[in-house]
Amino acid sequence: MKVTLSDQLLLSVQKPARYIGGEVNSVQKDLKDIHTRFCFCFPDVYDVGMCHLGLQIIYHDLNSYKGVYCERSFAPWPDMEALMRKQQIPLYSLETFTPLKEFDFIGFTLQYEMSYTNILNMLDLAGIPLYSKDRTEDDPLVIAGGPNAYNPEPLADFMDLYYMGEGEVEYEHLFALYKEHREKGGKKRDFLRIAATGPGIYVPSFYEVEYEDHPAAGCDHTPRIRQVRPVFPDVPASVRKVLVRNMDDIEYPTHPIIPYLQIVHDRAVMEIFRGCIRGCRFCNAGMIYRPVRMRSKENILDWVDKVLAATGYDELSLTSLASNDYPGLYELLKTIHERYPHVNVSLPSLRVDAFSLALMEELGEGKKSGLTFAAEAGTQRLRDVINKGITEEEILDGVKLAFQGGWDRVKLYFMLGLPRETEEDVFGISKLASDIVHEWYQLPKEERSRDLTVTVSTSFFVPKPFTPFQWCAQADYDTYMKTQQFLDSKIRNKKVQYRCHDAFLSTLEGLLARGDRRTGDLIYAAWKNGCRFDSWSDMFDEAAWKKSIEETGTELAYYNYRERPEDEVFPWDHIDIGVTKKFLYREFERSKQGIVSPNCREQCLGCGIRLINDTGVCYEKSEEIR
Amino acid sequence: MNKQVIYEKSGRLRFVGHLDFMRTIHRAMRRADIPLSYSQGFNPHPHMSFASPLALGWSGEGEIMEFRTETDISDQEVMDRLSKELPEGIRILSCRTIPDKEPPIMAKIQAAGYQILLPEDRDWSDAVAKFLDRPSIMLKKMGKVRGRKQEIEVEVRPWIYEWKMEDPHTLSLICACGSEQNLKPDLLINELYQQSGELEKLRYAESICRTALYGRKEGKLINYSSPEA
Ligand code: SF4
Repeated sequence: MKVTLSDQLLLSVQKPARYIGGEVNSVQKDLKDIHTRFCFCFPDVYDVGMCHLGLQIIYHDLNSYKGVYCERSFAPWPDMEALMRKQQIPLYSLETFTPLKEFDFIGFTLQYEMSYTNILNMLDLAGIPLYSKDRTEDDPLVIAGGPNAYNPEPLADFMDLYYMGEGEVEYEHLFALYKEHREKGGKKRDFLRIAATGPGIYVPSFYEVEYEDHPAAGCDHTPRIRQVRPVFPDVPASVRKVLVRNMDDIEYPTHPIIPYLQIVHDRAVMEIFRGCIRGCRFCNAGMIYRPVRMRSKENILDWVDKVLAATGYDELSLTSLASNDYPGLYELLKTIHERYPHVNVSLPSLRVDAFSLALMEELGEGKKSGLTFAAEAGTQRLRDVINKGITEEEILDGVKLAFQGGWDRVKLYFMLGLPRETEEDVFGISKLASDIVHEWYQLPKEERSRDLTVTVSTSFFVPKPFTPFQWCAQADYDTYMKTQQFLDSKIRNKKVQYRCHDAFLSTLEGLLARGDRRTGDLIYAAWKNGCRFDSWSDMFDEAAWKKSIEETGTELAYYNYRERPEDEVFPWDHIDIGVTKKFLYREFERSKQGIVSPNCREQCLGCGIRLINDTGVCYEKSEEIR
Repeated sequence: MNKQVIYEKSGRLRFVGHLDFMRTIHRAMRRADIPLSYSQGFNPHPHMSFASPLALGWSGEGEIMEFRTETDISDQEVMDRLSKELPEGIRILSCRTIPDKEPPIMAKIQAAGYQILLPEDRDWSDAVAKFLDRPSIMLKKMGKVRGRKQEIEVEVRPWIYEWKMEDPHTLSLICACGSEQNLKPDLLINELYQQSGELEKLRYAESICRTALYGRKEGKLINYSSPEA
């Protein structure tokens, strides 16, 4: 079956280009050569999903396999959803307009907690039963991956299987097994038994969660997890992530799909390395993407040539978790700049120092957008607690140079509600901002930028799985808001801007991030109560979420406000990201003592990943980086 | 070198808005390695212009764009290279080199031809004739009166130059199009529905195709969408 959309329909929705497909570099294949059809589902609107590099990587990779066809689908905006429901149009793929229900696999990427209700909504729009247990041979296998999949439990009841790790590694093998199984006449549902024993695959229904007999300390009715164990002997007790050994051995999406619609980041993207050496204690990405693995300069340049030729983009972003940590960044940029003088190159997550300022000057970039400092905490003491290796001196030196270079806008990022935060730390935020303004006044008029705006942005700290702070209590709503008001009252400098925002979303995010199988009921209830696009402030329905928490008896005291004891069995303990729980706890202990940990290039702290992988930063000293 | 390209926009590309469409063409030119010339300055943009934006949902059979190249390139080369890079739904019909001092096409367009498919549940011939044969048609539209935005009434009958019913549901129309006088055919059709008491049709989106763009020489319409013009 093929879905057709009438002109009438397309002309009555906003941005119809979201729904038409057919973009340059999207892939068309002859269906009669295909044995496995996979639909990559991004649980947000097209314009957001298409900015996502992971989508382009998986799409490119899966479509390079013979006999496999990877298509795409996104969450329709509510105006489109309403018309689809009214006209009984099922959710479809953009490549062939095939209803999702007809695919072998549909795969969701889990990028942020507040997209979970969209997943349920997309399944429902596709006419696929929401719960894994209700699906039959007529339904596709529903798989999920991405950074949030490492805590698979909140969505465990809705997923048939999970893919743990980097997408480039195991899918080809998985599909080969699937093909073999199907050719022998095997049933889709029986395939799960085969898949579950392979690398990186987690089938939630093959694991049983046992709870303690009494509520956790300080909680009303929610008991802790006693253990999680497989129900079949051949299913592994713990599922280890799969990862790319050598970044130069894998393909890169050199022909990314070019949306017609202007999307948020409309540019070519080149990933220069994966992982981060820094080990900030609040950061989930810094742990789950370990170890740092570089791409060689030659390969990057070669791919940049190809991407630009295949897209016609005049903007290029070199992405990574921390650009400065790429050895030879300057040479790389210089070469790109010489080859493509008309292409605007940007480096997100660049630390500001003399070197990077010179770099930005050269790129003719940055002045427009202003300088960004992710200081994260207001005092050195608290920055040591969270292991954010940036000092006040570095920041002040950086801004001084920047003001001399003519920059006139500085953005500062902080988190409120960090573990061990005191009033002094919060006050430190306003003090740092004032010190920056002071630095500007200190410079003679003819040496500095003409005016100055310092913008302070704060977010509320949310403890995440697989970080040293996974044991921490999360601040409650009132504490968050009080802290914010306190900061607001302290910021008195006219050149410093600060805007407050509501904290309830952070409470929810924390609840879902560290949720378990029982949290699935809450997500279901929220969807039933009409929640979707929860990460869009104008769509977020606070009342509906509160009602759902009430209805399901979800205890925030248990999920959010409780500091976990050392022996806590986390809902994600049976997932193995290579970084050990022991290491994370050691880091947690060091945070309590305010001890800074060196980064991976300075000294290996034995996080565990080198035991399961033999490449990357852990072996850099013996391995020449080209 | 200045080039003028006549092209067709149809199919799913109809749902790509004008700004997105321009970026699509610009990127295709870069992929095709057309030596586009750019403006100077901090934010250089290509010397590229379009005769008249096409509304969302409409197709165009003789759309016109112009651009300047840094170095010489033959018309055939432009056609060949660009055609390879364009997505389905944009087709190049012709390319020619135009003199440097030629005013931009945008400034020359004064009228456009449309083919409009009306709802097929009735014969529209009489209703259309009755509507268009009148000496005066007033249309409401948003405009500015002494700098303030408000609804104004505009006499548009003189802006309709030719019309004909091709069959009971298909209206061909040539009317004003350009920066000075501009008649949007969808607004005209809405007025037709109102005048013929077909109010429920107001929500219907007719299929509209812009068949050609015209200028005027000595009072006579000349078709710029035909390569011979
Ligand atoms: S094993 Fe050592 S070097 Fe490798 S990622 Fe872990 S801490 Fe860093």
